[in-house]
Amino acid sequence: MRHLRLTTLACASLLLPSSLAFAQNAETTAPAEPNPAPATEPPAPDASRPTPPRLIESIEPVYPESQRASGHSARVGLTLKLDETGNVSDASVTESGGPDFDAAALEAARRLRFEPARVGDRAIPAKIPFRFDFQLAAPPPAPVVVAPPPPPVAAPGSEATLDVEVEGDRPPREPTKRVLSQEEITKIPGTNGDALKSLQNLPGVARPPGLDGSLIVRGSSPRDSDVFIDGTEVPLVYHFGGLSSVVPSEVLDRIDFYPGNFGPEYGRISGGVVDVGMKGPQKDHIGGLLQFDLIDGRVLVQGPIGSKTRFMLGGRRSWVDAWLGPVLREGGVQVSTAPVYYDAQAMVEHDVTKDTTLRLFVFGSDDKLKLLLSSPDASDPANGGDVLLHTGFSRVQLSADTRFSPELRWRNMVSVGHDVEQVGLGNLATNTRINALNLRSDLRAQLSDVVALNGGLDIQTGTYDVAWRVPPFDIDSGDFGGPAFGRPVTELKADGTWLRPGAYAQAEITPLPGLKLLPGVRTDYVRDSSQWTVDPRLGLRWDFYPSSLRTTLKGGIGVFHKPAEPYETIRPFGNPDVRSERALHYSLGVEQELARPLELSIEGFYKDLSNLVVSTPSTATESGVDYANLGKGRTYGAEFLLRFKPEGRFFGWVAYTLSRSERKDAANEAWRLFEYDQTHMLTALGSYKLGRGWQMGARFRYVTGSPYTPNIGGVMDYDAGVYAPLQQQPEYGSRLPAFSQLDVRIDKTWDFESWKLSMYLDVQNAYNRKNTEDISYNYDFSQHKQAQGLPILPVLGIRGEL
Amino acid sequence: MNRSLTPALLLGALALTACGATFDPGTQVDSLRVLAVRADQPFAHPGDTVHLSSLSYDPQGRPLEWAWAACPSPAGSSVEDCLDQVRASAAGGELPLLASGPGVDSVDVPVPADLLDAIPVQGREQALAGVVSVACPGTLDVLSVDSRIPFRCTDADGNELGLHDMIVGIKRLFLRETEVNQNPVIDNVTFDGEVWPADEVKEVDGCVTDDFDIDDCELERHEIAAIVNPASTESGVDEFGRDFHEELIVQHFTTDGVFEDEVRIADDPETKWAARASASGTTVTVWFIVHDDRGGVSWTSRRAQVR
Repeated sequence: MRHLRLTTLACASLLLPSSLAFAQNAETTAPAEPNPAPATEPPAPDASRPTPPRLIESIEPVYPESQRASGHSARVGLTLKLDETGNVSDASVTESGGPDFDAAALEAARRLRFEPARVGDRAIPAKIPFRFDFQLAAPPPAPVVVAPPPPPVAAPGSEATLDVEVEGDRPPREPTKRVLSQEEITKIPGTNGDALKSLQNLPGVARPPGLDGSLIVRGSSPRDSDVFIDGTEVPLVYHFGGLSSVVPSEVLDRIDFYPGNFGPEYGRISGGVVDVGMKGPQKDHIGGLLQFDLIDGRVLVQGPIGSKTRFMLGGRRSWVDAWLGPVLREGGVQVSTAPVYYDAQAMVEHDVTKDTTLRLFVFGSDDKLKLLLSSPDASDPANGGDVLLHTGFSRVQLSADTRFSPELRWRNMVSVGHDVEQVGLGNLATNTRINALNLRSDLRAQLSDVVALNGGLDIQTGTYDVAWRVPPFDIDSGDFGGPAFGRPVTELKADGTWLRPGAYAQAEITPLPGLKLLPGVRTDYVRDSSQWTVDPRLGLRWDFYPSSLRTTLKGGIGVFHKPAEPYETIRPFGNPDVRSERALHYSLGVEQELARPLELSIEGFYKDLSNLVVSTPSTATESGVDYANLGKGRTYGAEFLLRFKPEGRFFGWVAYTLSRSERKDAANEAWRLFEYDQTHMLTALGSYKLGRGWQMGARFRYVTGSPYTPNIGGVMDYDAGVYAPLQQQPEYGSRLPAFSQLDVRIDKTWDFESWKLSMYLDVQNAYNRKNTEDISYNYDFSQHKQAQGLPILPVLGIRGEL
Repeated sequence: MNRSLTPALLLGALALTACGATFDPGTQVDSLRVLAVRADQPFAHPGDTVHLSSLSYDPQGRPLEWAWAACPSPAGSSVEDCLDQVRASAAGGELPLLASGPGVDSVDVPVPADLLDAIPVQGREQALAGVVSVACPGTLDVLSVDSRIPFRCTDADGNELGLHDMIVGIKRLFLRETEVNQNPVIDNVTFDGEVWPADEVKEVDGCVTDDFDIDDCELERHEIAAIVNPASTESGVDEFGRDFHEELIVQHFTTDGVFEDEVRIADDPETKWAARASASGTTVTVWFIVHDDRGGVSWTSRRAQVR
C-alpha cells in the first residue's frame, strides 16, 4: 500500500512488445552466449530519475520432467521483487503456465542476480516483470539468455518510457505483521476458501465457538479488535455471525494481520487489527469467474476500460435458504424469508496522471430472515411469534494516491456508508441505523536515508438512530440472566451524531542497516465522553544477517486506548462518565530464516488492561444497566510459528500459542479466567501441488476447551413459566473438553486456452470427531449433556475463471 | 461502531427451536412441580396487598411445607438479582419472610406505600418487587447464612434434599402508580374441535412412545387447544406513555403424555396430544397455563382416562 512509486504501470511485460520484456527461453537452438553484453552502456545515472535494475547473472530454468512426455510449451510471467543488493527477495506468478512450469520458473527466478535499481547513487529495491518461456523439442534444449535492453536515452522533448515499477521496500511499521498470500487464503483446508477464517490458523488467534466468527486475538474480547477494508472500518465481518466473510477472497489482494503493538495509524482498538487490501482490477484483459458451492454462488467480472481505467464488479448470494427453509418448515416454523445473504463489490480505478490514481470502491452486505414461530421455544417463550433478523451495511469509498516524488507520498480516503441492524423476537426488538463518514489522510516523507516520517488524520463521524424494546441485558454476551419472557422491558430511543477525530505521527529511524526504530504517537478525541487520549508507541525491528539467512529481533511497547461502546456512553443507554478502556502492550520476539522459504518466529507478549467497562444491573438508570470503568485484565503468553512460504509446490506452517487471559470486575476481586481464554492453540497445516492441476492439503487443530459457567440447578421463573439457571460462582470456573479436528482439501484445476475450471472438495472434521461446543441442560437444569459441534462435513465447489 | 453478537445468538436460539430437545420434555410432570404462581394483581400499587396463589403437583402426594420471602428492591429483574438480595438479607439474619408452614401454598403480600419512592424516576419502568417461594416435600427451615438459597429441606428421615428435590421460584410484582394488568381469561378448552367441559373425563388410547415423539402416535393423538378470551390480549398506552401490545402464550403439561408443541402462541393455540401407554388404566391430567408477557397468568386442567 505505502510504496514509493516512480511510474504507474505494472505488468509491463504483458503490454510492451516482447523485445522489451525480460524473457528467458529454453529453446532447441545451439547454446548461445549467456549474458551478451548490451550494445551500449547504460547512461550515467541521473540523480532525479531512477535507473532500472540490470540482469547480471541469469539462470536456466529446469524443464519439468513431468511435462517432457507431453512436450508442452509454456510461458510463465513473474513479478520479481529485488532488494537493494539486486537479489531476488520474492517472486510471484502473474501469468501461470501450469503448476509444474510455475514451480520451475519460481525456483530459477530466485537465483537470478541483478545490478540493483538506483536513484542517483542510492541503491533501492525494485519490482519488475519477468518471463520464462518453456519450449521443448529434440535435442534437449539449451538456454538462450536474452539480456534486458538498456534503458532508452530520453530524446529531447520526449518522456522516458521505460515502464518499471520501482518499489521502495515498505519498512514494516509494526514489530509483528503476518501477511497471508492469495494462494494461502484460498487453499487452506477447512476454511472453504474464506479469507478471514484463514486468520484463525495464525498464532495468537483463538478458535471462536461453533458458528461464531468472532476474532479473538491474544485473549482479547472480539469487540477489542477491528477489521478494515482498504482503510475503512467494517461494521460486520461475517454473514449471520459466522457463515462466511462479507468480502469474497477473490477480490482480496492481501490480509495484513497485527496481533498487537500496531502502529499509530490504527486507533480506537486495544486488541488486534486485520487490514484487508482489495485487489485492483486487472489491466490487461476482461476476465471473470463463476463459483458455486454448498453455501453460496459468486460471480466476478473485471478488466480495462481504455488504457487508464479499470473496473471490477462482483456479487454473491447464498442458497442456505433453499435447504434450510424446508427444514424449518418441517419443524413447524412459518417462513416468510428464509435465511439469505448477499454481498456485492464494485470498483473503478483511473490513472489521473502518472503520479496519481483514483479509486472508487463500493461494497456492501445484507443478511435477512423472517419467520413466524407459532410454537415458541419451550425454554424461553420470548423466542417466538414474529422473528426478524436483518443486518447490512454499505460503503462508498473514494481514495486518491499521489506520489509527488520518490520520497513523498500522500494518500487520501473518504468513505460514506449506511449500517442497519434490526432484530425482532415477538414483542422484543432492537433497531439501529447508522450513517457513517470516515476521512483518512496519510502523508509519508522520506527525509533522508535514516529518517522517514509518516503522519495523518483519521476522523470518524456520523449519525445514529437507535430504538430498542428489551429487558435489560448484557449486550456483549447477549445474556438476559434467564428467560426474557415476562420481564419488564425498557423502551429506549436515541438519535444524534457522533464524532471521533484522531491524528497520528510516526518516525521510521534507521540508525544502522537493518535496524528500524518506530516511535510514534496517536491522539484521539471521543465526543461521547468528552475525552482526549494520547497513545505513545514504540516498535523495533532489527534485521541482520549473521549468515546468508536473516535474523530479526522485534519488540514493541505501547499504549492503546479503546473508546467505550456507544451503548455504554450515550444516554439513555449508557453512562457518559464512562472513559475509554486502556491497554498496555509489551512484546519481544525473534524471527529466524532457517532456509530460503522456511522461517521460525517466536514472540512473547503481555497485555495489561485497565479501565475496563463493567455493567451492573441498576434501578437508577433508564436502561436498567449501569456502566463503570472498574474492570482489569491481563493476558500473557508466547507464540511460535514455523512457516514454509508459498514459493514452490508447498506451503504450510505449524503455529502454537500458549496463552492465559484473566479478568476481574473490581480491584478487590480475585482474578478469574476470561471467557475467551484458550491455553493451548495448535494448528498444523500444509498444501502441496501434486502436478497436473492437482493440489492437496490438510489441517489439524488442537485447542484447549473454552471456559464456561456451569449451572448448578434451576429456579422457577413464574412469569415465564420456565426454569432459570442458577449459575455456579465465580463465573467461568470450568472448561469444555479440548477441541481437535482434521480437515482435508483437494483441488483440481483444468487449464484451457482462455479459461480455467477448478473443482474442490473440502472435508471438514474428516475423522468425525465429536467436539463439545456447549453444555445443554434439561428443563430444570438437573441433567446436562455435551452439545456436539458439526460432524464430518464435505463441501464441494466448482469455479470457472476467464 | 462495533459488530453485534445478536445475529449469532439469534441463530443459535433458532437452531435449538428447529432441532428439538434431547431430554425428556418439561411437559412431563412426573416429580414434584410448582407449575405456576399467580398474583391477583400482576401490577401492584404502593399500599396494595397482593394475593399470590400456586398450582403444584406431587405424584407421590406428599404434604408440602412452604416458605415465602420478599426481595423488595432487587437491582435487576433477573432471578439471580432477586436471590442476590435474599442472600444479603439472610446473611444479616434479616430475611423478610412473608409466610411459612405446612400447606401454606398462598400468601398475601403487602406492598409498602413508599416502595416506589426509593426508585429514581428514570428507573420506574422496570420497578418491581420479587417474592421467593420454596416448596419442600418434608421439613423446611429458614437459615441465616450467606447463600442465595438460605433454606434447608429435609425428608421424613432427616436427609437433606437438594435443589432438584424442592422447588424454589420467583414471582415478580410489577410496581405501578395507577396502571392495571388483568390476568388472562381462558374461555374454554377444545378436544378434537369440540368444547371439553372441565368436569368431563375423556376416554383415550395410550400411545407407545419412549421418545415422547408425537409422530409415534398417529392413531392415539387428539387435537387440543386452550381458547383464550380475545380481550385478554391487552394493548394501549401504559402509564409511561409507551405503546404496548401483549403477547400471550399457552404452556402445556401432563402427568403422562406427549405434546406436539410444548408452547403455543394464544392466537394459534391448537396442538396435538396423546396419552402414553404407560398410563394405561389410570387417569391423566392435562394442564393449560396461559401467560401474558406482563406477569399475568391463568390456568385450567382437564382429565382423561387411558384405556
